[in-house]
Amino acid sequence: MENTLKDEEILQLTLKDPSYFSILVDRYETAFIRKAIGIVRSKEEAEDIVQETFVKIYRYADNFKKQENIEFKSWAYKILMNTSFTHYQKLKKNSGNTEYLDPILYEDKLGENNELASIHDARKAVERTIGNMPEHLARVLKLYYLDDKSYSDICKIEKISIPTLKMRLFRAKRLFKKISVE
Amino acid sequence: MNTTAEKIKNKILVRVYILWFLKRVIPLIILQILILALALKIFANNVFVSSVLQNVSVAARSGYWEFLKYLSVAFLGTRPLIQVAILIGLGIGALIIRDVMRSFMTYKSMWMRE
Repeated sequence: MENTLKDEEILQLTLKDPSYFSILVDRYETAFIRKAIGIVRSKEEAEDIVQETFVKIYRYADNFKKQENIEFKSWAYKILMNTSFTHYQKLKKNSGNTEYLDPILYEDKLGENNELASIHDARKAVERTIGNMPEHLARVLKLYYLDDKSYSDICKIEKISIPTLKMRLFRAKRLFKKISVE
Repeated sequence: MNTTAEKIKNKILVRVYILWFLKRVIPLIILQILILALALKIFANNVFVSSVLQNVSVAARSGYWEFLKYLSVAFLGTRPLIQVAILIGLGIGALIIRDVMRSFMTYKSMWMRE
């Protein structure tokens, strides 16, 4: 029965009974780790980021309650991205490299009254751009970046090999950039 | 779920439990302890505790029925303020026990949901 509950409902329940939180962890842990690895390129760092993200989700669960019309998923991913970028900055600092990410990405801190729905808008814009791409390239891009599927999952769905997928993703990203600029 | 994912999940759940305990349980228990202390202070200021305990021990030797009779007569014979303090003390004591038990039960159930 608990599996039929929406994420938002589960988050509400966790405020009284934190044991419900394990359902959310089960649902998002793997996807979060994959996403974090994509940013920091280190499995250990990604695991730390995911832990921190889930703890922040629980800590700020009260804030989520007050914001209507926002999906848990997009809110949670926003926290994950912020945490990942903060870690990424620290990593760069510690390794003595002063290269930073785009300020638009890393200055977007939690707790400030920024619109959490913006991730939705970005997603919509990405979907629009993908819609203008050839179907076979759009499909792999969507599966990898929007649906968070792994390489092996996409290969199974598309019935292609990993090198072919990598090549297709490379071409798709290049085309995506070109269309976005236009 | 593989073992690494399970390890991370365990760490997350422990941290979430600690957060819940600090945010929800500790403030409540502190408040309850303060109220209990106040009730006990009122009780101690108005009742000569050592003579009550002496009488309780005498009544307890005469059997359960005499003991209960002594307690109820003593309770009904005392002033309303002391009666309220005793009732609040008992109520808050029960709430503290309930919250401590609930914390243990919640900790146990953290890993039981699928």
